[in-house]
Amino acid sequence: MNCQRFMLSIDDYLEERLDRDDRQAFRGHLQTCAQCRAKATALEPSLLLAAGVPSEIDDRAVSECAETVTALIRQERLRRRLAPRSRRWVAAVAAMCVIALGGGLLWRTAPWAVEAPPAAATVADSQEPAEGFVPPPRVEIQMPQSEVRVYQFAGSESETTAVYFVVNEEMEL
Amino acid sequence: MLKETLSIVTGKTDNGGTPSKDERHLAIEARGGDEQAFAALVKRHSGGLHRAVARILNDDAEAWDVVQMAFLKAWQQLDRYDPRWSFATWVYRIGTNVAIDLIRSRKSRERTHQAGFEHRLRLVGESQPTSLAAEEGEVSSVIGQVLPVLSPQQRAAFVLREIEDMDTAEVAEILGCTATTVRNHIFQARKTLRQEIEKRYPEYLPASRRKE
Repeated sequence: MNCQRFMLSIDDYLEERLDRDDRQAFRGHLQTCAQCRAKATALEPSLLLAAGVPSEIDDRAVSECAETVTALIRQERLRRRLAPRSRRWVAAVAAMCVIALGGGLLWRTAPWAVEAPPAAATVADSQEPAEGFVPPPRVEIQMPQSEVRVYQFAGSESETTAVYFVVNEEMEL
Repeated sequence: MLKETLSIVTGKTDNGGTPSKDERHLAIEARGGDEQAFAALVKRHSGGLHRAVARILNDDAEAWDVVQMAFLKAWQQLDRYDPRWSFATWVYRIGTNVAIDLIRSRKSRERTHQAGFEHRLRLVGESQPTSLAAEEGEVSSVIGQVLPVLSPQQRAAFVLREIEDMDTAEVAEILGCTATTVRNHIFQARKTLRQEIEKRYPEYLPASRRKE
């Protein structure tokens, strides 16, 4: 686009009447011709804001952004996967407690409870883990693509706490 | 409206329109849980989104936070994304909305953002005029000074259309309004900017219009 055509196109640009190619040519001339830029911005000062050449995109910042977003996504995934499991687990433990308590009460109030041999205590004892027994960890979550495994320890000493390890040295929570 | 919709579907820009086969493939894979595919989309679009958001917010560092938040939201809502449409337009929409909300929330604080604003625009040309505009980065300074006078919607529309040079239909899609509304935003923004530039930078006016 030459200078004469540029000056004639100012109104069309401002009124959004230029097609895409003419618009590109107009903006290109605005950015590269200092004299026309001075004349155009004197007529319409807001054109100054379209006169700059955008800075280059910072590739390093983009890579860092992608890494950060990926890390946030993994955190989000882990949080989502762990949250419903722990809720279900707590609900299951609560249900077991209710059943055990209810069963115990029924047993004590039942007519045969008086003559009953001390089998209930034996049964109750047999359900408790032996002293010093540590249940083996279970693999709760497996993420093959990122080589992440989450082990859950459901120890009897703490029924509401899930302890997990992330087997991935590059990943930090 | 149909014409606008068609123009978006048949658009040819990188930032909007029909997604390329590669982009569509990446978006579908990401929707299936592929983090690598999503990371590729982040790398492809985060730079451009950051540039636009940095202009809207007038804050370079805060813009990266918004970009990260936008992509995280996009990941969380991928099941709502329709691969027939441009992923870029969709994520620009999320990012712009986050930026607009941020402007509204920080209005009461009235912070000065100039210090953190690192984007620079170069003025190129064989002969530089002797006015203030001749200085390197002057345009960036002007933008930083005058854009905050616009409303968040006007600012977003003006930045996407006038500075990032997106199609009007694409800007409308991003802002969730009609092309006519975008043109109105641009018109009002020009009017406000003209007054602001005349007040702050009278050296851009012809001598006959300068107030003594």
